[in-house]
Amino acid sequence: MLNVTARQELMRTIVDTLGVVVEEARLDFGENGLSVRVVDPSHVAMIKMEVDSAAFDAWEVDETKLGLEMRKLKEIVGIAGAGDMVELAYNDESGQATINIGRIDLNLRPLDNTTLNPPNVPALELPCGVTISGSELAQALRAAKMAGDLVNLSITDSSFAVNVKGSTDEVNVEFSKDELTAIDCSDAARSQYSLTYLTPMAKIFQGIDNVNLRFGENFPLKLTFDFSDGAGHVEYFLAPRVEGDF
Amino acid sequence: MGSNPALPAFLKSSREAQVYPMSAPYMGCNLRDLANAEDTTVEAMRGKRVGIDSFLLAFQFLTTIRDRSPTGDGGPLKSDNGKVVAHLMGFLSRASMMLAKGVKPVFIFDGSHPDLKKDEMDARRAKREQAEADWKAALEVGDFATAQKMAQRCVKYTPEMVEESIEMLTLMGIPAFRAKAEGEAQAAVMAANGQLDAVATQDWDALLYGAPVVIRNLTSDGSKRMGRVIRAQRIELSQLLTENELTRDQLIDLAIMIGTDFHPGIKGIGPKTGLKLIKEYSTIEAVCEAKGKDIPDRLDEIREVFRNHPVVEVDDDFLKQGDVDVEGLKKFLVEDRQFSLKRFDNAMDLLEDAGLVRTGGQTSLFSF
Repeated sequence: MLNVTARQELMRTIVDTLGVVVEEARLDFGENGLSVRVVDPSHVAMIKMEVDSAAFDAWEVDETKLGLEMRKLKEIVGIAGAGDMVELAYNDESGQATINIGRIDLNLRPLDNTTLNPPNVPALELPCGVTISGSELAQALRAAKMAGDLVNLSITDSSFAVNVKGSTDEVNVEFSKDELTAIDCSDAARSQYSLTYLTPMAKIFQGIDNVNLRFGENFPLKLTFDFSDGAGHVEYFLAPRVEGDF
Repeated sequence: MGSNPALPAFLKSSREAQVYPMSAPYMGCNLRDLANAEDTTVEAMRGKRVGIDSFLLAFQFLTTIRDRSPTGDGGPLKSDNGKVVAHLMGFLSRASMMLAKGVKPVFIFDGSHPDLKKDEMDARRAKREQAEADWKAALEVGDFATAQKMAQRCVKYTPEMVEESIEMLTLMGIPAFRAKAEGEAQAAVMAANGQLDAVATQDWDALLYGAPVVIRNLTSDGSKRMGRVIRAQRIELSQLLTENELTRDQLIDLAIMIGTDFHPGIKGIGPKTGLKLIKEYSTIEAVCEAKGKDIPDRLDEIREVFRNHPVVEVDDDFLKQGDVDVEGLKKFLVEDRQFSLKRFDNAMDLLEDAGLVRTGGQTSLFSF
């Protein structure tokens, strides 16, 4: 049995965030909260999400793993207005999931769970990190997109820079130590990522106060942030672009 | 890929002596009556790492992907330059289909057969040699109908063809290797120790080797044979043992009584009687004593082959799906073996959808 209710904004954050990476996800509801791990089919981007039950307005949960289509959820959550309550229920006897918004009831059949195995999160040693305002980072990435599709992130112990060198244009955005919430870096590093993956994620974190980025030289990026007053937590992993054999 | 009117190159091969002495797919000890097989699908195996008993599969390809033109010799399909390609064509299409459906296949080929299997292998070789003689005779007198029938019975899968299959699968980024001994046994042991989620084989013996989950018809799921649709079937060892109230050792003894690759079995004991007897007496020795039968020769050796089959140690890292070497695969198939570009592109489309074709230096999270 499952019956959870949350404001539209929270449901939207959850669905939009997961939707950046996958079309289908297995949502694991437990006694204390929701946890999800998804990876895109190319294994380039991954999300690990945890949402504490406290972020929800109602939480009646017997451990349930629910496979759902993000597109459908996005659509139904989009129909609800800001501040509306969205209720998600699952009846294990009928195998039916129901989303209720006011007088709207959407009955849907969940996806086969066994085909949606959560990926293992890679164990990464990421030597450099920076904490930055979500809106400033999103703005830098939006500017970067103007020059090309591949963004270079570089970091030293005192600065963090976003750079794109296109065939004709170039964009540079540099943040010095005092413009950042925090920075730590023992060895200067630079790594390149695809904006095709990163830009949709920027839309998610542009309203977040503090976003933490960690990476290393030609190494995956790990981007973490909280939402819903710290009750929700997202880890986003992105594999780098590397020249030559890989 | 047209037909080649000349006698197949491999018939003239000087490597004849090294040819695998296997003539037809063997289904292992018949445990069908004991197993409560459940219908399943390829899709249900999404995300699962499945060990594929590849030898049997290769034979299936070599006997079904044939030159069936009216004056064809009925042998496995060859490219215009005379190379047999039926096995590669089969592996290419099945492997890309599985990858596209999110299954993680691991192709396991037979190594050397246990010494115990010598009699069985000799019998199979004799059968094949007879068929081969009949085939040549039929071709000589232009009896193509007989030739095509015989051709199926003398199909050979040479060590070169095995190496070639492994090379192609490796280019596709798929783990493929040769077992120390029996392929289905290697897969079963790896499934039992958690390296694989299931074993795909037609061979019931995989259960005797301890495979917790066996999938039959995985690669032919959804295809039609004699007017009926083939469905993949899932058999669980623990369920089989519980339902029949057997231990694994008892199941092995039961199989040995019915007859296996390593021993013809005890005369007059089939699956039904065997099950009753093993439940009553628990071991072959006790059954034989009670029923006045001879204990099979080398019984303990046969048991040991099932209980502790020799296997190669395989590193977990080796079992990960890698990226497709598009250029390498194209050269291997299109340039060297005259596969049509269309066939190649179709396979690439499937692999691309599966996110396995990488371009421009984009790495995967799982390579770190």
